[in-house]
Amino acid sequence: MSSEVKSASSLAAKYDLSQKIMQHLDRHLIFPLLEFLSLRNTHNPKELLQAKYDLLKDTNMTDYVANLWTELHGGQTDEALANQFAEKRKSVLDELSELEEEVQGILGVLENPDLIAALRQDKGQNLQHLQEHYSITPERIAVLYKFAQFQYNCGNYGGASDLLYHFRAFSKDADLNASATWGKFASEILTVDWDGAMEELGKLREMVDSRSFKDAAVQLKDRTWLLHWSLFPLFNHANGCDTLCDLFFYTPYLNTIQTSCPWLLRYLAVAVVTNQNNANQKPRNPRQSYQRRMRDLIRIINQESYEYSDPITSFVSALYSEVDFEKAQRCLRECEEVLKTDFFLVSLCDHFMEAARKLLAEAYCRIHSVISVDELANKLEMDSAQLIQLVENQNNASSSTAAAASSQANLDESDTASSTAGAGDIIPETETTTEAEEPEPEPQFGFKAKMDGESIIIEHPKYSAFQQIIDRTKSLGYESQNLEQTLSRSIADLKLPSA
Amino acid sequence: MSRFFKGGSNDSDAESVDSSEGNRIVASKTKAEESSSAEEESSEEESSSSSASESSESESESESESESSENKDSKVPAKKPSVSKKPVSSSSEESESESESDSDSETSDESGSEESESDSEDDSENSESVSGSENESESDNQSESEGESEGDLESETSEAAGPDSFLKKPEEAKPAASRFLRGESSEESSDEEEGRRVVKSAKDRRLDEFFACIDNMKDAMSGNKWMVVSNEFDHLNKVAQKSSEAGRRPPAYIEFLSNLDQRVESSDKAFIKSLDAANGRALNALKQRVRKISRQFTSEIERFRNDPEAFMKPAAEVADVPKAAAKAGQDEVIVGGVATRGIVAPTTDEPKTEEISPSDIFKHLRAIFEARGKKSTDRAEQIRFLEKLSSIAVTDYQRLRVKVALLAARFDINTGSGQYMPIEQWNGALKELHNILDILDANRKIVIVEQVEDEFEDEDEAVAASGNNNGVVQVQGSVVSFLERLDDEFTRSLQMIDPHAPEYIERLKDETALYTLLVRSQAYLERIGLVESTSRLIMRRLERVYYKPEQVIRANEEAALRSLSPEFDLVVTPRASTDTPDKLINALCVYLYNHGISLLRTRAMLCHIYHEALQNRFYKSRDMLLMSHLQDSIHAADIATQILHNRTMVQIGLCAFRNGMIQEAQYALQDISTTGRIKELLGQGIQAARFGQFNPDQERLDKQLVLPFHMHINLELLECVYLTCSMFMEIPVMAAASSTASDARKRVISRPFRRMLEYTDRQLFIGPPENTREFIMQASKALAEGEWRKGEELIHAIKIWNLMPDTEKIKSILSDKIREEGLRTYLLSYAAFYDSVSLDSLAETFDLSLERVTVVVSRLLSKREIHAALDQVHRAVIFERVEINKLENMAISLSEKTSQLHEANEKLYEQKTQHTNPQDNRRREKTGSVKRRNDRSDNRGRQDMN
Repeated sequence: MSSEVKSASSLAAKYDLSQKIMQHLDRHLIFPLLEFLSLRNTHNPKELLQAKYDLLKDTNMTDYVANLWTELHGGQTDEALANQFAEKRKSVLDELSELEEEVQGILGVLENPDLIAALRQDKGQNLQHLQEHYSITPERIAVLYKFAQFQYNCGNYGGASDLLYHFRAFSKDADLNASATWGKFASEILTVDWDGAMEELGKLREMVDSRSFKDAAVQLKDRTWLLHWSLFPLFNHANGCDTLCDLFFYTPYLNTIQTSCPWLLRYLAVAVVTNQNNANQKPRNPRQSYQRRMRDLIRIINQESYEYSDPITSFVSALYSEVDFEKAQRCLRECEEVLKTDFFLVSLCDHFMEAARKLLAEAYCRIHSVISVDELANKLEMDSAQLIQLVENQNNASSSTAAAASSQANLDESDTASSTAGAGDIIPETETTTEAEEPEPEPQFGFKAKMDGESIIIEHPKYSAFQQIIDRTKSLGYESQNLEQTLSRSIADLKLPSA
Repeated sequence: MSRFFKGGSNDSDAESVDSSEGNRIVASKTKAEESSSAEEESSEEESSSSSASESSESESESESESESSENKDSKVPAKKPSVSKKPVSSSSEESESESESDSDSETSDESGSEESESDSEDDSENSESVSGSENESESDNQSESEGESEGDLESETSEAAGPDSFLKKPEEAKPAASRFLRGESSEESSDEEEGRRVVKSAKDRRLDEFFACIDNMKDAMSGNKWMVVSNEFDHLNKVAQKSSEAGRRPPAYIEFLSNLDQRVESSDKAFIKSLDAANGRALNALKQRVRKISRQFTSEIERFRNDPEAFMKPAAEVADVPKAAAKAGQDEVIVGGVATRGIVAPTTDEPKTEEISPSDIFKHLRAIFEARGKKSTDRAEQIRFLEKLSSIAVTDYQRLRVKVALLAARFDINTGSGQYMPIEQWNGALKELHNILDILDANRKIVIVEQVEDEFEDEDEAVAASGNNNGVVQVQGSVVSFLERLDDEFTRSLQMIDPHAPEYIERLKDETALYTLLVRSQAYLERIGLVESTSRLIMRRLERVYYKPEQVIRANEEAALRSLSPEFDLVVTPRASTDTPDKLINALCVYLYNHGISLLRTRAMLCHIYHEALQNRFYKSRDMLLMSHLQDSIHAADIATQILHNRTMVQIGLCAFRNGMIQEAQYALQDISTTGRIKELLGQGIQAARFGQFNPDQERLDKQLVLPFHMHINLELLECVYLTCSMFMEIPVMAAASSTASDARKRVISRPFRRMLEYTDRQLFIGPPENTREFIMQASKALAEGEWRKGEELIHAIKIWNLMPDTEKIKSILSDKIREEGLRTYLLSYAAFYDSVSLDSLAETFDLSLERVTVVVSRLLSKREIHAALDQVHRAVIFERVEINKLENMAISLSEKTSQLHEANEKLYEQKTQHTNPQDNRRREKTGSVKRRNDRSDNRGRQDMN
């Protein structure tokens, strides 16, 4: 994969993160990525095949590996190698049956309803119980782990997941438990059980954060792995993007990203941009608000710009910190290419493009008072006629309620209304004005707009001295109160000892 | 006769030769007395020791007094049987002179005919100065006539004492050993009976003294009187030394040493604790000394322990040989004595170099070491003598020893801290070190180490001892210390030479030679594997290169390697993988990170960052600085390291500037530039005495910290960069603050810049700019007024930019920056006078592309710094007319004032809460009331508004 094939999508290849991400993934997790890449035709198929073969040749999936080998060598067969494969296959099967036998006994016991009824919260007690009544020693429990690993290596992820579940229920070995959790996480991912994976992610996160590490480097490595693995469930789970933002913006993980894997900023950026739909829902935690996240994202992208940049991060920084719309638009075009070849983001591509265009238009309208229709249409990559219709519709419906407007907005830019409050927050607008023209595309930027021949005129709120005074004195009352309180408290503290 | 007395006193006092004159006077006086009545004199001189055999009670008393009060305990009567030996021990213990004069007087008793000879000796003594050891050898010959009866007597007493003391301490004295002790002495005595009385008596006397000592110590040991033992042990060593010089060391000495060693080593901590303080200390001290001494004789002790009998026997036989030689011809011995005299006193007399044979070198060295540090020593003379010695030295070992001594002597040459080592001496030292390394490279069996097992007097001994070290001969010394000293002296000379004089350049040329030597020594240290020394050396090497630009490092490195053989290579910095300066610095630093102590690691880190910054890698150096968390702990470091840290920070700032990162540069330079003590903080000068307080000591110390001139960072350039950056940041901010429409708070970015600008503003008449500061100030004013062309001209006219590499690039960066900031400033200041501005005309005015103008304007708009909007169709900025009526205006100023008041309150609160003494209480309450009033006025203000 290192030698990228000069194909039409050289841009995609240039910003391909697979290689970087693969360093932090389990070999079984890499496999879907390789499959995806071979579908995309960005890389030399033969190289990919070779990579697949190299990846899997140490696993127990002998049949598949043998097939891969023949495919790799264009159908020719090699006697010696074939024998080797057969031999390996045999040994794998032997081991399988052997382990299976051992495990069967235990599983039989573990699935016994009597036992389940007798189980308690305390692991130690459970173990004792097992040992007394069913003569299952901790050593035999450990076999479960071994077998799970074996199953996992064979590609039987579901089985591995089940086994690991049982193992974790009984084992007291912290290290093995930790690696069992990792294993279960991987198994859940590979069996496409996203709910299960999310659950495991939570467990892992707790484990990585709570365990006191002697070596900070180990913790850093664990966090890096966790961040990479979590991409699988988070971009597939229904509520994934929000969780991803939570996870990635959590300070220790943010530091991890900055120190060891700045390329993950791409995923964070996409998650933040696409997640603006919920921007008008006031989150309980102000940290989770869209504005706050956007601000943090811009800050970090700027900080790390010398370490990592791709079209997605450049788009964000061009739009918000450089305020260079030309560049932002250029980047946006590249974004599409890149997203389409990203294993995790391909499903979000359209969604992202839409949201990004909206952001672009929003920012553009904010500082313009007169825009030609063509220009805005160009920016939004939509038909000018469509746009004119949109603006006119809005003018007609300017008195209509928000509900009516939102249905109208659905005609084109689907969920535009929802982001209005967000935009309103960025610009110090009074609530009332925003309410009034919430409905159509322009209103998402918080301004009134009307058509004037070939151009759209956007009315910005007038500068008002009162507004300025209000801004300036808004916090004074609260701050003075604070000061007074602390003052009286410290006076009381001082009086107390003297009295 | 009197010579003996004198010699003895000389020895015992360990006096230097200076006292010889006084002694001579004493000597002549005593001689006169002697001639009149020898008997009388002897009794006078040592009333105690001469009458030793008769008087016993008084002796034992005086002795016990002199030794310690503990001697007076119950043990005194128990010792009575051995009382006869006590006088000897007492005399020997108190001062050797007594024992010497004792024998002296006895000699005079028995044969007055010796007088003439002693006179002749006196003559010779007048011509040549006499040291103690020489006198000893003379005295051996002199006392030939000593009566054997006396020797017999004393040997008998020692015999008597032997079993006695043995009985007292059965736990450690080995019966066999004591038997041999006796056997030996009886053998001696039988020898004496055979008629070689003359030789024997001298020998015997020493032996007697010897055994008396040993017995004393055994006694004391059994009584746990370690102070006594300790004193006696010193004496014993002295005697043993003498006898070994005269002939050979009595085997009994070894035997005793072995015993003592065992005994002392067997005493554990608990045992020491059981003793009282004084004795415990004495025992501890003794332990140390015994260890040291017994290390000298490890092999002999080994031999003895293996086979005590065999060890003692041949010793006794061999002991006769020198005696025979001595007897064979007195003249010869005297001649030998003359030769010895020449050897032993090289520091004072004209050394008789013709007579120095290679084998004598070590004796000379020892003498020189002894003379070291004494006031009377002529250092230059010493060096000359050592140079001569080094030409005489034959074997590698000898040469090495002499060279090491010579190096030390060279470094000793100047003691005052106010001067540097003379350059010819420095060069000599450099050559010496090269020679040493030559020898070490040629003869890999010799190494120089800091902790040598023992300093050997003789090459043979050293070689013998080398068996313990896999056949490697060790020489005491430290290559790295010498190098550090050399390096320090080099730095010091550069500190003191006027940097503008040609001598400075001349001196600086020596750096290459020094660097070559550093590289060479690194190879040696790597070879012998001293990690600690290697890291020290590598630190020195790093400090010689880190501040240099790439080309200079490369040239330096090449020059160093060229002068070394082509196959020369290093482990830490192999030639192949450190061919670029970056790799070299990296390799050096990585070694220090892995092996250095924490101080070296810190310094290596800073040097590394400095180098990265110098190479214009801003992000890397910044990240390294941040990752190392050095800034948290640097205030606790030593001053030199803090200076290095400051230099690094400045270099990072300059690096940012070179990369066009104005803001980063300003932040990095901010701290150091606002202090007003840049010179001192960068180690490029000392602080002027403040308030007339003048502390010469402090000043001297400060001067030592000043870096040589060629390492300095140009302060004018630094100031220029800082002020330019400040200008770019401050001018738009000031413009924004002055425009009413903006609610930007007044924020001071750079105080020094503001102060200077205010000062310029106050000037009634502004002349054409003369220095960098004035150029920047006038450029700032031009920029503030929107005259960016004038500003650009002024900034470009600053000459100091030429000191930066890539001047043109920097100037073009500055031009771009001036245009953009000019545009920003212009819009911020003059927005109120426009309804609309076409972007094209802005682009034309500021000589920027339309896109660039759009971006700059957009940025201003999006940050709400000006109230305007873009008209994309007509390509214009449309300003919002902001008209404020009187009421609004007043309301705004009221709100401004209330917020100021609020700020003042907060500041006051912060200030006052810092100290919490009761007196502040009232004041704080007052503050509270003031604050409340503020609140009220605040409320009133709001009511007004509504």
